[in-house]
Amino acid sequence: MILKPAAEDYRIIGHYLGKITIGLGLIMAVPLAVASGYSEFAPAVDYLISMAITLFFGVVLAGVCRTGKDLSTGHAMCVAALSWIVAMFFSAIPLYLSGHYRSYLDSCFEAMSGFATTGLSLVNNLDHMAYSHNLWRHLTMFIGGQGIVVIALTFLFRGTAGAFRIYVGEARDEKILPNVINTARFIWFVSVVYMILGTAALSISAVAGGLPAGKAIFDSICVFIAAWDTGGFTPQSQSILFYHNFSFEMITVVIMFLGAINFALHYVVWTGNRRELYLNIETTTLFISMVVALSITAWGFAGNGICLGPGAFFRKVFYQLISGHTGTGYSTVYPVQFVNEWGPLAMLGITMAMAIGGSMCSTTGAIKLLRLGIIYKAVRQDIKKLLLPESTVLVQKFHHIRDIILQDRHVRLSAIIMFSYMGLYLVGTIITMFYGYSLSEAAFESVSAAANVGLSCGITSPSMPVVLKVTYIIQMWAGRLEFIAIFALGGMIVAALKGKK
Amino acid sequence: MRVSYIIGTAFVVFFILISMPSHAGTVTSRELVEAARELDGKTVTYRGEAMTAVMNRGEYSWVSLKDGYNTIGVWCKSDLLKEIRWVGGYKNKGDMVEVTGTFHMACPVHGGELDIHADEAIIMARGFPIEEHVSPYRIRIAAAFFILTLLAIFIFRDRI
Repeated sequence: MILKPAAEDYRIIGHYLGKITIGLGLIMAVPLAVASGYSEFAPAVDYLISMAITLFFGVVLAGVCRTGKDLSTGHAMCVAALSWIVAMFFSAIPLYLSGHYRSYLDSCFEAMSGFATTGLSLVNNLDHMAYSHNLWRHLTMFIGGQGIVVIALTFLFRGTAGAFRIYVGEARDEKILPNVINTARFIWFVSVVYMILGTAALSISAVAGGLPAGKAIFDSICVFIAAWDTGGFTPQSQSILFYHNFSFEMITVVIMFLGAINFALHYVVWTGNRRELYLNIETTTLFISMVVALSITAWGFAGNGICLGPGAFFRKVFYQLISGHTGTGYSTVYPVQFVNEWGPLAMLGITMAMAIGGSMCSTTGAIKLLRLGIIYKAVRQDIKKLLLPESTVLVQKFHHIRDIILQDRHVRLSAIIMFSYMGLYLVGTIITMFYGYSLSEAAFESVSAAANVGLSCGITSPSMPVVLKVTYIIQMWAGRLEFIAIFALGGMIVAALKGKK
Repeated sequence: MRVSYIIGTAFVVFFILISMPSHAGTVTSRELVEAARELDGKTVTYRGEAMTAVMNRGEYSWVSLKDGYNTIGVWCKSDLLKEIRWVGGYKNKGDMVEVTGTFHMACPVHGGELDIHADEAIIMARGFPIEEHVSPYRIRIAAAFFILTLLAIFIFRDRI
């Protein structure tokens, strides 16, 4: 029997949702300050409006739903799932007011793409966009990549027992340090250190490439944020191609890799254990999947009769592959070139890399390397069992920070998430194909949205049908939260509708 | 004698024609991106707004020209671009520049980029500063919501 949630349950969810909304409203002070600094008065007014509306909603919600009770796991999951939707609606307000989007839906698409660190964009005339609006687009990636809830954990939920539950709901289930608050702070520490180093390196490269210093620093901050959080927005409509700069591209490759690595792995490497880089199941799986995806892409590319030298091959083929595999979505080609010049087989290689994604507890989306590695180990164990005598006791281990004995629960959870992703990829592909796109194009775009990558083969554009925009928003949301929180929210809705008192 | 003269002249004309660079005429960025294979290696004329910055690399520079659909990277001698005064951004409309040069689908010099190596660049129209309009209506909305927010904070000050 399903029980109808009590009024207290709604109050708990509402209260924490209100607090997260207040946090979002306060963050809008950053683009407001930037707008003031650059004398962008119209955008400054846009941020005043958006900030006031967001804070008003957050204060009223948190105040009306005041409760002294802490969150249960179910509540935390619902808060995690709903906070992304609420954040999307409020963050879309300044984008819509900027006049660079055809509709409020388009700005919601952009906001969700930012929070989910996807990078698909429906912006018009990006190159004429105000600095403050451009920074806000990138800041949504930083907020989403770091985790809306990680931010709240760090600043708003000090010491609450339910904090870790929301953290898990946001698909970050590793405690790097014994205390979840310290884990959240470690994630911030690593991010800030790399931000200083990465922005400095990108700025030097951009200035050396002829960009004026002010513009170079602004772009470098934005590009770092989107690369580190494996997002993919850029301040220029040409993406990374705009910079025409090999060293700039190489620095983004390094940042994309760092962003796709598990924060737990960052921690052990930072504390001196560099051997972990070679032993970890995620890094070994990444190496193998990179080799396979690169081989398929290169084969497909060669089959199209386009001959590239090693340098060009690296900057075109390898770059898009790294960008896709790490879930970033930076590009040095125009979207339609995938269809016109790369062809279906090369697109399949990139699609495969996008579908796998990066590490757990990183800013990437998709199935993720650890789950793929676990399923591979389970299959290998089963094959071994078939070949050995029945009485043999077989223990399969995998190495992730430490040696772990492979158990059924690891395999079951990995399989559930993997099949959920495959279902999400498939549904998006089928819906896209209804609009007349080929299988390779539809799969490429659908996987890019659901795996939070952001590479596009040209389907995502402001003129895209409304159904596709909504489909991709849902895919980005579900893909980023890795389903569990959404299943919990779905269960809550069913209980509210059909449950008994 | 006359027949061999005509055939000889025809051959000379034929070889002159085939050795001349083909000229695809004025193209849009949409054509450059979507028909890149057909236009690869041809001389094209392309016109667009100079965007963001002219990136000086010594003797040569990069400029990005946007024609309303895509932005295309143009590589040419820095001297040809020194007349550009306005580049497009939030506060400026950039100079409208027309370039003529060789289009590359995958440039062998620039890491396989899709670009134009221009031999000519002409400023077709000057850019200008864009006047910013701040809506008084929006200022009133912002003020109204801030008053409401302060009121809400006051009411719920012990409950947040």
